[in-house]
Amino acid sequence: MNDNVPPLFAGKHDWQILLALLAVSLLAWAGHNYSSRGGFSGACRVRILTEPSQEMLFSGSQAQPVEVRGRTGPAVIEWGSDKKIRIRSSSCPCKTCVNMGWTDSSSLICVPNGIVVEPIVDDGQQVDAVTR
Amino acid sequence: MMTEQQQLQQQAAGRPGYGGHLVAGTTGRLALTAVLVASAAALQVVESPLPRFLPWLKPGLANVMTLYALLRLSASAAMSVAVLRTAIAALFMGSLLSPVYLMSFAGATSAAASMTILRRLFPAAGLATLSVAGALVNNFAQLAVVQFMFASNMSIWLHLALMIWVALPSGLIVAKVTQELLRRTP
Repeated sequence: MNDNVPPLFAGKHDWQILLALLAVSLLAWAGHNYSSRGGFSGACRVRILTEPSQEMLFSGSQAQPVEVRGRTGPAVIEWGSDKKIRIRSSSCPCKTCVNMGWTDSSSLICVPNGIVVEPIVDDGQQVDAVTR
Repeated sequence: MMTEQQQLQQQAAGRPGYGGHLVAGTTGRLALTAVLVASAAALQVVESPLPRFLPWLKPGLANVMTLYALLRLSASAAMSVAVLRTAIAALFMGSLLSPVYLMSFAGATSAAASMTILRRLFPAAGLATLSVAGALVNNFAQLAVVQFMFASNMSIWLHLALMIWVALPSGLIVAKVTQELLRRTP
């Protein structure tokens, strides 16, 4: 056994740095809550970064989930009763996008599948869906 | 009259680091770096398919090898471990040069650089601080890559609050495992 190892917490610098991190986290959390306020109607832009890339614009929440096909396979985007959006399933290996859950402010991005779901808080669109 | 081994140990004792004795000699350091790279790549491959209950929540045990290399060898060894283990793991998982690899590469190298800088600025910093800072910068760099490659607005950064909270437990786990590894290796 080797006893000459550094401690987990060595002094006041450690606590200062960790407290600074917590302060930043609280500020980010406050910013998240602030941006979540407002009339989100379920409008979002869905970009699929395949070749060629596609973009779909939804002016509000959809009654039925929408299935899109990304780089690795299909993904399902779903709107909840409170108009929040989530990626319900995706064929990506890590499922980080699915685990990110519901959102009404921050983007959901599935990197392996190349799918980007961006909520639009200021709903000025009067169309159901546009694709190109 | 000192033997060559004693001279090497005396030479190593002057270098900053932890452990009963530092690894002396170029061959020994190279061999230990190679072992750390292989272990880190294996840990990254094994950890990759494990289920996660929260996004980004994984122990990040490959960072143990980076932190160990920084403390036992040098900053350049830690950076070598970060660069090589992401490339080798990506080769195994078939994701070399994909966006996933770029995220992993940016995260691992940024974590190694941040832990090195933090250790230079605060030589007395504890393992937990180094490790949590490394985990946080890892997540931050990955978010920056996603922002650069995918996002058309800044709303992805709203995930930062959750990422910080996730970095805390994973950083503490990495710190504890590194401490045990330092304790149990000569």
